[in-house]
Amino acid sequence: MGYYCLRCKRIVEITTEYQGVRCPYCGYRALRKERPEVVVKKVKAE
Amino acid sequence: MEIEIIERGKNEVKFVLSGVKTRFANALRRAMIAEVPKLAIDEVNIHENTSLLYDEQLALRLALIPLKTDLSAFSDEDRVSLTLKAESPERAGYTMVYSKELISSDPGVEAAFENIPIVKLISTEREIDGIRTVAKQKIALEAIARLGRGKEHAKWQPVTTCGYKIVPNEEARDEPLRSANKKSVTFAVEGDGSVPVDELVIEAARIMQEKCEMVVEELTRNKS
Repeated sequence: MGYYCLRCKRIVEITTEYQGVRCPYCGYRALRKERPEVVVKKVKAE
Repeated sequence: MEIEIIERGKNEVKFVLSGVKTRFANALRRAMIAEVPKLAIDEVNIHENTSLLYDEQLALRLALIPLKTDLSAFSDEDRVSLTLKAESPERAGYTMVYSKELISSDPGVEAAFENIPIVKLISTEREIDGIRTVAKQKIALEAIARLGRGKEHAKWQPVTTCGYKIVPNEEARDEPLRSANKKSVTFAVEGDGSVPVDELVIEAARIMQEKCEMVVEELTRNKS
């Protein structure tokens, strides 16, 4: 499971050697971890 | 028995029912509240909910939205699916999600009023070290509506106000004991918009008739 850039939305691989986090495509520094598909929750409406 | 309509609006009706016993008027009132069916959301499949409301609260708010119901077109087994997808704005601020945003699988079924607020979705903006991020709220769900009756849950109650007042007539004032069986009652019925109010009164009377016929049928079967 990788990270994606919040600005350009591209998948970014993080290298541990590199100090700090930055998108290699646009340079944006806010990345977000991809989350798995949300499980549908069934709720009784009462 | 005589019926005189005094006032008639889009969702409310006032009528005088004369020459009936109070117990009959009360039976009609109870049938209108608890026996006339209507569509209401009964189950919600929540795909995403990052709003401030809990899933259960959101489901209850959806359940209480009156849905337009054509009584001749639906049976107890029928289900109608309504989907709702909404997101807070791109910048800091909020969006109010209204009942009109519910997309129905049946074009005839929609919220009776389009301006019922469901949930407020808020976007918050913050900046850390020159990086601006916006935290957004989102809801994505599928609601399943089915026919039900007011005796099961109040969400299936097609009336908001339904009551009657006994009107003493001249005869009743003079001889109260003799005229106890001949009373006039003034009914005030206000629907919630799901079923047209005149249809609602007729349906309640029809349900009463059906029940009485069932009793007669059962009694005659036992007798023979």
